[in-house]
Amino acid sequence: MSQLFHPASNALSRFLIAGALCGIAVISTLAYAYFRSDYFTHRSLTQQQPIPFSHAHHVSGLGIECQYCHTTVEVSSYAGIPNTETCMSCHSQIWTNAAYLAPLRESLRTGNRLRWTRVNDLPDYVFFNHSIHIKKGIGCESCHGRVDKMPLMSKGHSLQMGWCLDCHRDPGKFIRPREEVYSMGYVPNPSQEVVGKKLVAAYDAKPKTDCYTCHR
Amino acid sequence: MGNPVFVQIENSTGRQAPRYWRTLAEYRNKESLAEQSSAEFTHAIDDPSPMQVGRRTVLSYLAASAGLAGLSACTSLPEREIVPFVQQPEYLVPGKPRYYATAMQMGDRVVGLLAETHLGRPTKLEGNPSHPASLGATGIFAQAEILTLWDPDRAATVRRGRNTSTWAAFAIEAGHLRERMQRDQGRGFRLLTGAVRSPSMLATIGELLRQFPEARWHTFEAARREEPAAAGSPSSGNPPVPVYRIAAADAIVSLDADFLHGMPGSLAHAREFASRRRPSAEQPSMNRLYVAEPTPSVTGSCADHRLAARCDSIPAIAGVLREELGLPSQGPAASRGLGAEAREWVRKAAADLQRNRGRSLVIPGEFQPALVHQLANQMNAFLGNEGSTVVWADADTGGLSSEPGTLQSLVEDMEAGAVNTLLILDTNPAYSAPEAKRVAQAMEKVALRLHAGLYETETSRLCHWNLPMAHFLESWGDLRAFDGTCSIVQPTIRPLKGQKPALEILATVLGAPLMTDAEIVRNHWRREAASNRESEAAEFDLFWRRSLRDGVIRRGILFNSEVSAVGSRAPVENGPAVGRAVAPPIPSDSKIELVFRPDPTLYDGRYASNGWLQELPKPITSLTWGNAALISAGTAGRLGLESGDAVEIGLGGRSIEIPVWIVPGHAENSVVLHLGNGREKAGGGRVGVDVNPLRTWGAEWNVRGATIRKLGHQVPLAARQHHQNMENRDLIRSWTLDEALSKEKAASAALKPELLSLYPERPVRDGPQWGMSIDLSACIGCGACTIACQAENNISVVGAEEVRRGRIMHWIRLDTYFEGDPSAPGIYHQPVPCMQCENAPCEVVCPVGATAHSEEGLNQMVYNRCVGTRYCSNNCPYKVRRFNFFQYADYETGSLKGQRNPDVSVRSRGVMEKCTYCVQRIEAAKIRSKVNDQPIADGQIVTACQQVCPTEAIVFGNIADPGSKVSRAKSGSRNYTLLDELNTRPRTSYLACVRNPGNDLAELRESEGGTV
Repeated sequence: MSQLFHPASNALSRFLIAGALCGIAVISTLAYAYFRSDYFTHRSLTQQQPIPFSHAHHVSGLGIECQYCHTTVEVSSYAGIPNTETCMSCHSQIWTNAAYLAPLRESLRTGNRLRWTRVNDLPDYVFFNHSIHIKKGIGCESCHGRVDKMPLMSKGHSLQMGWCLDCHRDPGKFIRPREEVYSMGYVPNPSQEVVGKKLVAAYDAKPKTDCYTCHR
Repeated sequence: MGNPVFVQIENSTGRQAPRYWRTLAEYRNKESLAEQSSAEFTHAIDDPSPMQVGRRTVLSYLAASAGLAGLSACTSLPEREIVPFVQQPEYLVPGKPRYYATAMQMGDRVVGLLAETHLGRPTKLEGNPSHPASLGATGIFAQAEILTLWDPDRAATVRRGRNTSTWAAFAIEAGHLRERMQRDQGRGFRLLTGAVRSPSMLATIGELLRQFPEARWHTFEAARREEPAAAGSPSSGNPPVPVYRIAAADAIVSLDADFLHGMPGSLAHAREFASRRRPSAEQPSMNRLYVAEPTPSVTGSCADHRLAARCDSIPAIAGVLREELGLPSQGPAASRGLGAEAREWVRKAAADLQRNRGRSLVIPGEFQPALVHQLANQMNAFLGNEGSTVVWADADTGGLSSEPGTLQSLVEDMEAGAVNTLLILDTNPAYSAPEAKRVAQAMEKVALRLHAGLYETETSRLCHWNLPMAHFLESWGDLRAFDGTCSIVQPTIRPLKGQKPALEILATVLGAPLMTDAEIVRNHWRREAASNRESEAAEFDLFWRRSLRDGVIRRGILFNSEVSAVGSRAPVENGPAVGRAVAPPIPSDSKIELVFRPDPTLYDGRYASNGWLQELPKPITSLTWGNAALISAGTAGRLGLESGDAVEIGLGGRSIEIPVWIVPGHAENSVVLHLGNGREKAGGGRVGVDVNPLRTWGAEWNVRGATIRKLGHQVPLAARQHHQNMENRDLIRSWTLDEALSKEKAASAALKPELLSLYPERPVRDGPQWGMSIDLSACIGCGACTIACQAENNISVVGAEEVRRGRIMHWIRLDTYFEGDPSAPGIYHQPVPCMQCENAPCEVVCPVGATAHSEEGLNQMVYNRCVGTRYCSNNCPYKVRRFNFFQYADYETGSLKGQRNPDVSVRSRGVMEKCTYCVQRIEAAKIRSKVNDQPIADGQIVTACQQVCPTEAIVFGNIADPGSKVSRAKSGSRNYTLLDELNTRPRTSYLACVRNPGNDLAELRESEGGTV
């Protein structure tokens, strides 16, 4: 019986096997890169909003405290989004005729609520709580990024589970003094390693990595 | 009565019958059922599927679903909105629940509640600890009311004839009506309501009757026997209502009274009852309960001496008991006709009552005739229980001079043409009244018929106008509880679809269409407060706000010792009328008796469209989604019937077709039928069988002489009892009081073999370790835990067919066990949540790590990781895991979204779920304690099942703290865990059930002789 395969098919099959392995590796790498890319996580992506609200202007320009608008950040799971009246406490006096504030005035006049697009959003099976993070010395900046440098709001970090666990496994890397929680551009002194260790002990910051900590 | 009827079904295979069993088939050791239930999910495989699927189809579906599953990874992040307020309400913190004190009424029962709201959405109801009818607990109905509020089937628009109309149009119609009534003083106007427990409503009705003196008011409550209320007292006009103090009673005799579950004040009764059922070395005494009833009720299942007695023999038993106590009798000795078993029961009960004079109690059943109530009152008076275990509360008539009329008199008047206008407020006589057809026909003769109610019902369809009524969580009101305590009903949300409260509808008829319910209630109490000098007018605001906060506006008799002293009456002498009544006819056992009772979960049918209550297994029978005729095994054997066999029950020319269900401990030749099923006009259509056609006036509650004919086919019933079969393992533990107190028993219980484990030893963690203890001695088997868990944890309803397949989703199930002879079994209840094993068998088999252990000892289930292999469920020895075979959670219906607890994920198809020990409450408490720098106090975290439990049978807490309540409960000798030998080390443990049957009669007599 003659040979079924030509000797060259040995090379071909080797090439195919190697190619398949490479293909799997390449696809996996691409997929991994894709799901961690800003393109997928929407990090740094600005969204269409009813009013082009600038955190940069209000935070670094005017120096308004975070809690002036996000009132419940210390007591509740939600930080709170300012209601129309909060905005109008200033904008009934200044920029009263600004065209891009028209939706705000409209909201007050008609009682229809403003509909903002979420920027920092977590899936429904994640139960995040702001108050405990503030209490344990995690700064706004650690999750939301340099909000004071965002003319239009965008995500500062990916907010993926691996990113959360970075800190939950070792909070010393990010923890800061409570009085610095709301500051932007905080620089630890002497170094985060030294400060972090002290603060973790002082604040009894023992974040859990149990599933039920966030998923219920 | 008392025949040894069980000979023919005992042990057909000759094997030893198990001591405890759950189904009769198990008792008989039938192979068929054993095989059927050995599969993890019964019927899952052999059930003829509607879709005949071939091998190739399966393969192509497999390939397609694998491909599609891959595609699901390609979705991008969804774009969602944040919608802040325009003007944020004060004190409202998004993410934190707010609680409002309110109250609910069902029939004559009133319960004080706390409504939990999230951003203005009421999501859960809890009991109000300062309300005497709640004491922090609620029953199944209060839990289910939250679903009724959000029910998409509720009436939403004003309807006139077949057309939609408006409230303005109704106000005009009401104006015309009022003009006419002013001319003829309201002649021919009739108001029909359910039981009215609201002082403001009574005052409004009083105002109506004053303005229109010829108008008449009738009440109709489908699940209430009218007679006893009127017969409670010899005084006329204003009959007082008995209030029982169960905790003070050492011996309790219930004459067909389901006082732990089915009566006004039953939550308080249950709490007090259970407080005397936890014997320990420090408090070695227990009360003793005697129950005589036709079918095992919740109360009967807790009895130490239970007598299965036909409903129509209860008067005779009461008569004999009275005689046995030594009360003089004029009639012939009544004991002649009673069976030996009944005589024995009566002798024991009488001896116990005698021994505990002043500390005993006889409770007559709600559905027993006035005679039984008279006899019970005489016995209580004779035994000196008045003022100690029975006190009398005044019935509130709201200052009305006359009692409301009955439905029967209304029907007669309608038939006579004396009624031209009929206004019906939230009652449904065209379905639930005896001779409902006659009611419907009589209504046709009324020129103008108006109906206001939560739903379109059989009655509303006969009316010219249907006015959608607001739910109690949407309206202001006030309610008077069983002991006279008053509460304000405050709304938690605006009516979802513009419905109006009953008070506003009545105000419209009275000519004040703009009057709001809030004004009506507030004005009423302003007047009341002024007249009772409870507060000066200037202080009224404070008084009002305090009442709203506390949920109690005026304390009732249980808080007021003066009133109770006044309320006790002198012992009743044996009058001639009573003497004649003492010898009630002894019924002959051979004739079949029909007994009508409200459904344990649907009540009189008002909850027929509530999926939670439809799917809640009924106590003892475990039936869901429908009813059956309950019969005893002996009667079934005589008639050649098995559970599920369809029969035709005939009575006086009328008949119904209904499946039968054999109930252990049921009285012979008695058939118990539950009202409230088979409603045409409710929810997803007809469920169960309407038994009402068999009822007539005068024979509403029990009647003799029915015929039963076997029809030859089976009706598939959705019972839960055979799910999660115990395979004869030793899961329940029950002791007598003597055993519980004996040292040997404790020692043998503590004796445990050394157990080995393949799993590595878990390191001891610091921090709290959660655990639970369930006291089987306190559990009465009401099922409130199951439905509270459902409300708290967003648990789906699956429907009858899926229940039959064993796919019910309840995270905490209630298993009922029977012991011994099926004709007179011991009955035990066991709630089974997740055991949260320390060596959890489920965790090691999950291929994707979707179930894992937490540092605090919780066995975590992570929905978003679960891929649905179901290995965990397979490996769980306790069968507490539930799988979403289909998309059970309703993602579509808008209003149901409002009900959901925002702190718990809504699970989707293909995901396993199970009890989490209410981890959302644990985490919330932990965060609260850390943010406020306060340690978590023992008892601060309560699980939903624990919070609702009327008897406080469930205790939850930190077992690492030796001083915590749960640690102390677990350290007692009654403590045991399920399937100890598997060494799973469950965190949920049980306390053995203790029953107190007492010594033999002879010893009892001896001790009695010794003390006299």
